[in-house]
Amino acid sequence: MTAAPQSIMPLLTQMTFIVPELMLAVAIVVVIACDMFLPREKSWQCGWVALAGLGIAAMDAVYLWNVTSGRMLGGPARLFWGMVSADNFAMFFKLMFLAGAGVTILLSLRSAELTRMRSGEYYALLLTATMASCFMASSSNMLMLYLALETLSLPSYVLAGYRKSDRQAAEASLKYILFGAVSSGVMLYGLSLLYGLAGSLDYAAITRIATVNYPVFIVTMIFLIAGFGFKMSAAPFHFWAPDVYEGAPTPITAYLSVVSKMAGFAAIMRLLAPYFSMTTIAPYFDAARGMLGRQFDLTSIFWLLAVLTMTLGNFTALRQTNIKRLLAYSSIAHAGYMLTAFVAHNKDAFSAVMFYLIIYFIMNFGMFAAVTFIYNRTGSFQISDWRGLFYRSPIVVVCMGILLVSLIGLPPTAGFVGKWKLFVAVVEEGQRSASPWFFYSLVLIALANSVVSLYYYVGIIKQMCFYEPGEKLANFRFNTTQKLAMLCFAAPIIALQINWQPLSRFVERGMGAARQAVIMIIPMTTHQNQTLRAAEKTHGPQAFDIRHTGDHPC
Amino acid sequence: MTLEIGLIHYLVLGAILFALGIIGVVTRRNAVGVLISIEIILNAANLNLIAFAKHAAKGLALPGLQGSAGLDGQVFAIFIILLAACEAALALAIIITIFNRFGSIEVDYANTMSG
Amino acid sequence: MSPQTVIFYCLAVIIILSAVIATFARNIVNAAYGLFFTLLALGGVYVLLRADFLAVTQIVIYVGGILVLLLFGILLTNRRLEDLIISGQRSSLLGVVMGCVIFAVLLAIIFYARWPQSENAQLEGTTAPLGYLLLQNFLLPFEFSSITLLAALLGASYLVRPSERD
Repeated sequence: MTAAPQSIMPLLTQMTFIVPELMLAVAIVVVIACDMFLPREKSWQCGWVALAGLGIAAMDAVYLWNVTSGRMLGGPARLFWGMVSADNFAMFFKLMFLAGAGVTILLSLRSAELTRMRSGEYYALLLTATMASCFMASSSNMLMLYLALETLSLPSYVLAGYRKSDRQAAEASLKYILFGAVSSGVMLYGLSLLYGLAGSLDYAAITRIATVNYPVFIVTMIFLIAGFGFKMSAAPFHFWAPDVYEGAPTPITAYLSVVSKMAGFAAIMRLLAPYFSMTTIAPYFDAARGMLGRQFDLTSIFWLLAVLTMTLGNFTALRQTNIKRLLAYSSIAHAGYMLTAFVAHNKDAFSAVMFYLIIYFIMNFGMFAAVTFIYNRTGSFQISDWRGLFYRSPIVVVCMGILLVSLIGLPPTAGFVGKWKLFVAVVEEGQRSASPWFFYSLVLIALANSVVSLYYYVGIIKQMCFYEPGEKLANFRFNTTQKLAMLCFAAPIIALQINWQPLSRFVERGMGAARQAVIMIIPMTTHQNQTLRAAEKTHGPQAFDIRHTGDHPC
Repeated sequence: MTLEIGLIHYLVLGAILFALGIIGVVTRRNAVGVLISIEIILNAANLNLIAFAKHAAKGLALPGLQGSAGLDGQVFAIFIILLAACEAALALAIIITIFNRFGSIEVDYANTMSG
Repeated sequence: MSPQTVIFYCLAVIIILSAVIATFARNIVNAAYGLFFTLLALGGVYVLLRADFLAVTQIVIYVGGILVLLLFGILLTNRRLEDLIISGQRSSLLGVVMGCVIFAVLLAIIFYARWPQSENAQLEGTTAPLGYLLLQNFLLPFEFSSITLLAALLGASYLVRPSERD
C-alpha cells in the first residue's frame, strides 16, 4: 500500500495555523450544547459563550499574525496540500472577521429585534459564517474557495430570515437564497471552465494559462465575478442587498455589509494576485480598441463594474427614506469605490483597499450600532423619525455626524484618507500607463459620485439637527453604554485622520511587508517555522508577488 | 464534429444545460421551479468538471497509483453534489416558511418591499 | 460508429429533451420529472467519462435525495393540486433571448479555446483513488464540509420548527 507523503507530525503542526478556525468550530459545538440546557428566556447567554470563543480565536490569530509575518500574498507558504495559504494577508482578514463577528454579537445582545427569541442557533450560525469567511480569505484552491463561499452563504440565508414570524424577514430570506444560489451556480460554471483552462484547481495554475486562451479566460472571469459580485454587492449583482438589509435583523445587516463583503474582496484579491503579478496583462479583443484608447482586458471589466456599481448605488440612495435601505445602497456605492483598486491592480492599490476596508468596517458598524440603539427605543427605521435627535443627545449625534462625513469622504475624517489612498493609487497607475485617461476618467467619475453622495448623507444630518423632535423621540435618551459605544466608533475616525501611519504599517504588513523587530515579541516555535519552510519548498521557490514590491525585502 | 466523442461534445452538452438553466431561472415564477433550474446549472458545471478531469487536467501525483488523471475535478464534483443537497434543503425550508406566511410560493407574491 | 458514440448521442438526446421539459413545463410536477430523467441520464454520461463513483453518487444523492426533497417541497406547498400546481411564467421571451446569447458565447469560447490535453493514463476504478484524495489532498475541505452540513441542518431545522413565540 501507500506511504503518506507527509508524516503525521507536520500535519499536526500545520493544524496550528488554523487554530482560530478550529476554536470557532469548538465554540459552535459549545454554543449548541449550552442552548440545549438553557430555557428560551436565558438563551441569549449563548452570545457570551460565542464571544469567548471569538476572543480565544482572535488571540491565536494575533499570535499567528507574527508567525506568518513577512510572507507575501500569493506566496508559496501553503498548507494542507495547497488548500490554504499561511500568509499575513489571510491573518489580516481573519482578525477583521473575528472583530466584526465580535461587534455583531455585542450588537445582537443589545438589539430589541432579537429579544425573547431562542438564540442558540443564531450564535452558532454566526460563528459558522465567520469560520467560513476566515477560510475564504486564506483559500488558495478553487474547491476550498467554493466550499467556503457556500458555507458563508448558507448560514447567512437563515440569519437574514431569523425573525421568521416577520413577513419582510421571510421575503428577505427567500430572495437572498434564490439570488445567492443562482450567482454561485454561475460562478461555479466559471470555475469549471477555469479548471479546464488551467488544468488544475490550484490558483497558481492560473499563470500557466496559454496566451491563446486569454479571450476564454476573460469570459470565465465574468462568470466568476457573478459570484464575487454577489458577496461584494457589486452591480449588477446587487439586487438582493436592499431587501435583505431591510428584512434582516440590524446586527446581521451590519455583518452582511461588512464581514461578508470583506470576504468577497479578500477572495477575489487572492484569486487574481497571481494573474496580476504577471509582467504583462495581455489585451484580449483588438476589435474593442477605442475604449479610451485602450484594448479590452480584465481591468476594463473592473472599470465598467466599478463605475456601474458606484453610480447605481449613489443615485438609488438619493430617494431612500428607510435608513437600512439607504445604508444598503451606500454600501453598494462603497463597493464601487473599492473596485477601482482592481483597475489599478498594483500593490499600492491593493493596500489601499485593505486600508479602506478597515475604515469602512468602523464607519458601517458605527452607523448600524446607532440604527440599532434608536430602533430599540422608537421601533422605527424611517429617517424622518430621527428628526431633532440632536436636541435629545448632542454627543451621539456629533459621533454620527463624524461617521456620516467619513462616509462621504471629506476631511477631517478617516474616510477622506481612505478615498485619497485609493484614488492616488489609480492616478499613479495612470501616469505609468500608455492610456492615462482610462484611469483618470475613473477617478473623476468616483469624485462626481462622492459629490452626489454628499446630498443624501447631509440630508440625514439635516434631519437630525434642524428640526424639532418628533413624538417618537418624546422620552428618548441614550444610556451611557450606548454613548460610550458611539464614541468608540467615532474616535478612531478622527484619530486616523490625524495620524494614519500606524494603520498604514499594519496594512503593509498585511500585504507581506517584513515585520519590525520591535513589534515581534513572541518567538515563533521551531515546528511552525519548519513547517512553513517545508511548505515553501513544496510549492515552488518564488512568490507570486504583486507588482511594484521593490521596497519590501521579502 | 467528428464521430469520435471528445471533450468538445461534453462541453457543448454542458453549455446547453447551462443556457436552459439560465432561461429557467429568469422565466420561472414558482420558487421550486427556480430551484429545479438551479440544479440544472449545477449539473452543467459538474459535467464540465468531469469532462475536463478526463480530457484536460494535469494528474495529481498519488502515491502507489500510476497516473491518476485529474481526479481533483471529480472530487470537486462530489463536493458540489454535497453543497447542492445543503442548498436544496435550506431553500425548501425557507420556501415552506414562506408558504406558511403567504399561502403561495410564486416569487412575485413575496414582494412587499420595493424601491 | 462505435457503441460509445451511439450511447452518448442517445443519452444527450434524453438529457436535452428532459431538461427542456424541466425548464418549460407549466406543471411543476412534470418539471420535476424532467429533472429526474436529466439527472439519471447524466449519471450515464459520467460512466462514459469513466467516473464510476460519481455516477453512483449522482443517482443515490441527486436522484434519490435532492429530487425527492424537491417533490416533497412541491407537495407540501400545493394544497389544492389542480389550481396551484400550474405555475405561470413571466417574460419568457427575455429569458429565451438571454439563454440563447449565453449559449452562443459559450459555443464560441468552447470552439475557440485550445484546451490543454491530458496525457494521464486512465484509471480502472476511481473509488479507491478518490478515497485517498479525500483523506489526503482534500482532507481540509472534507473535514470542513462537516461544518457546512451542520450549519445547513441547524438552519433548516430552525426555520421549519413551529415558532415558540406566536
